[in-house]
Amino acid sequence: MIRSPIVNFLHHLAMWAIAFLMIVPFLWIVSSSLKKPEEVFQEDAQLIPGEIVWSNYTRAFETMPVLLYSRNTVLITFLCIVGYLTSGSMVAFAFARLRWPGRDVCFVLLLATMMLPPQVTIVPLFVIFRHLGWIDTYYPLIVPSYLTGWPFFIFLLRQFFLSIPVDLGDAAKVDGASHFQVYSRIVLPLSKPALAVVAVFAFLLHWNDFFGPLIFLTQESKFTLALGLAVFSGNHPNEWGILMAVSILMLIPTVVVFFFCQRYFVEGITLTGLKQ
Amino acid sequence: MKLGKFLQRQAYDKEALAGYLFASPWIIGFVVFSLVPIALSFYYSFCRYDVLRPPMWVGLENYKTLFFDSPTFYHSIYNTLFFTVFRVPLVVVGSLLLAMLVTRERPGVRVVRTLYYLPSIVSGVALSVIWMWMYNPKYGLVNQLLASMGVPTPNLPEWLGSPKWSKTAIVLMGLWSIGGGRMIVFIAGLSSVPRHLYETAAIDGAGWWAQFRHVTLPQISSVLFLLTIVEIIGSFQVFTEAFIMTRGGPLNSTLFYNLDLYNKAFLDYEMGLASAMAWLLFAATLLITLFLFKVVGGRIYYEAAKPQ
Amino acid sequence: MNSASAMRPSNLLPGGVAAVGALLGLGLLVFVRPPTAEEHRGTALQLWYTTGADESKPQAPVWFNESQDEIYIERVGLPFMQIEQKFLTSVVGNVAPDLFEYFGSVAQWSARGALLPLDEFMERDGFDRSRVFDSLWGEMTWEGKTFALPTGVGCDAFYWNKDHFREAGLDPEKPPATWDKLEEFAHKLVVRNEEGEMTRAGYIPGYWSPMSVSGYPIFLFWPAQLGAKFVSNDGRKVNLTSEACVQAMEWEAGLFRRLGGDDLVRMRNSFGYADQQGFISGQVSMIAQKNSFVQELRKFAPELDYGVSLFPVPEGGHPSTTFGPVWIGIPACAKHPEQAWEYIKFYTTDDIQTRSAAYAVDHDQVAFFPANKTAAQSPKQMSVPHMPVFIESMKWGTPTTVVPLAHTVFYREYALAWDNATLGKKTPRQALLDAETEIQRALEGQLDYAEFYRKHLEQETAMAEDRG
Repeated sequence: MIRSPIVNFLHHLAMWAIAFLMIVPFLWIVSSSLKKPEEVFQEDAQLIPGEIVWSNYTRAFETMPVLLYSRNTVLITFLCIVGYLTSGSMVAFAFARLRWPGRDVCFVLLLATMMLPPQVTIVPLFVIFRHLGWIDTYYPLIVPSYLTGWPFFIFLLRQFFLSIPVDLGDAAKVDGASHFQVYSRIVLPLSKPALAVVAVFAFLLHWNDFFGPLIFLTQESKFTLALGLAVFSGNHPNEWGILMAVSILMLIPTVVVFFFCQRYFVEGITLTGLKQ
Repeated sequence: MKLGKFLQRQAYDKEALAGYLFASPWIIGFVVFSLVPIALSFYYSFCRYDVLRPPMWVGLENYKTLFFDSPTFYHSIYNTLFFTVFRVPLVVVGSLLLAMLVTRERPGVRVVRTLYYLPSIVSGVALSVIWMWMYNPKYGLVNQLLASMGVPTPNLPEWLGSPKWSKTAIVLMGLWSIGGGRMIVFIAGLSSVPRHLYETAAIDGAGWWAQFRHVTLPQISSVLFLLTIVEIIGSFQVFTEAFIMTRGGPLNSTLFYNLDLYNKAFLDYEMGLASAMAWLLFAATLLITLFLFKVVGGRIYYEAAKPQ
Repeated sequence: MNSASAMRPSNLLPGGVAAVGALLGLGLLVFVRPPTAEEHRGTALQLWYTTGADESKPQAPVWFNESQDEIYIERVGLPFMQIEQKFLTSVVGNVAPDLFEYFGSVAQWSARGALLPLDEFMERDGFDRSRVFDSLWGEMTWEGKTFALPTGVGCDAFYWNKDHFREAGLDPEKPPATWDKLEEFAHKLVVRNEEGEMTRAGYIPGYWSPMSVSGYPIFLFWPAQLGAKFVSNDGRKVNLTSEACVQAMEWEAGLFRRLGGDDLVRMRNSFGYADQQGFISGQVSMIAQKNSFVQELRKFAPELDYGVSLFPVPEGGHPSTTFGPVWIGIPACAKHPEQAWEYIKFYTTDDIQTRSAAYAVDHDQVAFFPANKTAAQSPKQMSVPHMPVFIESMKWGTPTTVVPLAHTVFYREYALAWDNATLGKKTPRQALLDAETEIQRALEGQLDYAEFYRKHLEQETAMAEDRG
């Protein structure tokens, strides 16, 4: 379809103008994090700081145990990713490649849980975890990823497994392979892209997770970055320079992951087969 | 013959066992983390309960309180509905428009797609903290931009500090992330529309708008529909922004349903009342989803299947 | 995928990033450890206290640890926005500390059975109640039992900017003594710029924190000055629609409108904390603030010439202030109640209280003044600016916990009513009536529940006795 050069030009203009609008807030918060407090609280603030200072970042490390919170977040995120990859793939395998009574009913239930508002279960979960003695530990945040996983991940992996030709598995079974061997020797290795997608999304999910830690963690030394930032913003409500610095510190890993694993984001969405 | 069938059955049983084994984590998890809590929360919704003391059965009293005696119940529903009705079309149409801008391969489009996607990875607490700063009435970027465009100071909205503007502020900040996953889905949908349909339409004399209405829209209707449903369900659960930025104020203008629930559960220790609220939310979500699927869903698939 | 493409940078990159990320993560896991408990001898007890912006820690535990070897108190600080919820979850989760020092309502915990009654300990060791300001005991008790001991107090007072007074031709040593005078002075102190915008407000009713609406604190002393009692004597009926309450709110709402309405809203929204605070930045001339404000003034506006007094009083009314105590208690499920009590005994002696006060003064941490009378009137404490005014206020105090069983609901509803009234969305009477209805509903539910729990406990003790 041939378009007039004017329309073409306008199209390009719109595209880049919106891209600029999307980026401006980033520029603004980076700039705020590098400004002196007096400059931050100016009615005619400039985008480029008059003087670049790193004090917001150093103060952030002084007033908030950033390294500790990062460690905690890394620990939880990593353990959860392992959980999703191992048990999630096993469960998806059961849905995709095995036949068992009740399988389809369970799959519908799985889809239904995606629609369940977390508020319905949070109070009883709290009571259950209390009886298990898990309040103020990391168990409530990690164990679910080894059991139910995240329904969306199981769904995604199942879709992917379905696309692997059945003959491969059948051939192996004729040779005497057990189901587990089909799973581990054939399906899993072929699923690296899908597993990578799950890992990337799981990382984003848990790095930013705030509600779980809010409810289940008590001691400050156990906090995650997201919870720490939330609490900090409540206790130091006006220290915008520091708040921006901490937000940026939190963002950096996610941005890095994004830039280098871009294609997994795209693949992740298209893998769900929504476009069919 | 009988031996063959017997062996087949054996294999089938073995497969069923393997199925259960492989699916066991999910089955256990489903029972413990979904089924039991759902049942418990249903029970609590008929009790007065503060987790410190045992539950006290009060029958339908919690529900009666919500429907007849609670000033915040209807207000929070209104706030949540306002938010949903305002936000869903903006976000869905917005990301569709963005997708339309960047679907076709042209110079620079990959860079632009990346720039569009970037804001969507900022989420939760960081997003709220950042926008609290952006919306600061005196020093934030939004008002500074407005002022530099000539808006006089008394007319600058107070954003999060104003009962009139607070919900709008939260809706508008969602526009920053429209270039995320939704846009990708739309791009995938748009690029799978067969080219020849457009060419046929163009030959028939159809202009840009007609092509959109009669070719694009029907082809992506199912994607559009699904994304809208997901968006609606998500909007019903808005919490973090209000919790971090406004705590429900000013004048309860950002008291969303979930925040009201949280307040009742964890600040007032009225876990029974909160459970009743949770169940009503669940019921509403289910009903609306079913309704949309039945009423609108049928038309969507009919449209998509219509011969061009 | 042949080997050539497998080696292309874009395929190696995610792997490389993952590797670097893994290394960094590993480094964090290995080298960053959560703070380990300090070296100690004896039984370890945990004391939870509230951390504020000034990151101060209570000193008494350190002295206690130094004075003996059997018990070691570990100080654990929790942020003030979360500490209530954390305490609840810890009690529920059976991971409660041994000692809890906080400044909110005691009864909301004691009514729920979360705190240990201390009367037996107090009787046995001969604790002298008159050591402490008398008005504080009401908050510590619930149904006749004492559940906490007061260790500190915070109260409200009236601050005014003397320089502004001079500029406006007012006598800087004479703060407004009546409500009418308050309004008169406020009008005189307003300053507007060429565009007619208000750049200095004389007084902003309700202003204290920049979270303007729907928040703390609520100034209950205004209606209290007219004699308002917010709840019946038996604690079963909330009363926010008494003539005193309605009159006070009508006055505040009217004052808000007469002093500028929208202008005040805009100014209030633009204020922040610390040096962005309205009074500290010189944009407000008179303000109701806590005794701890003295600290902030010293830190952020040392040059500001200000005065502190009791609040202006209405015609036919009497002075009042609201105060909130800091208290220390023992969670009901604590594992070492005896040892915990030993610490409390130590902490509440005149001597230690005076030392704590002196320490706080020396280190610029004067957020609260001691509940202990001797300590409050010690020379060090009295050297805090305007201390005499605060002590004088204690004679007229109204406690901040009015409805212990529905504490959060009370404040939320009252704040909402106040906002609705001052912004003209509802008449004061209607706003107060709506608040009263909602609080009463919550209270009645809680009273029923408390009754149910009492019966439940009776049944349990009866069953235990049968078995035993």
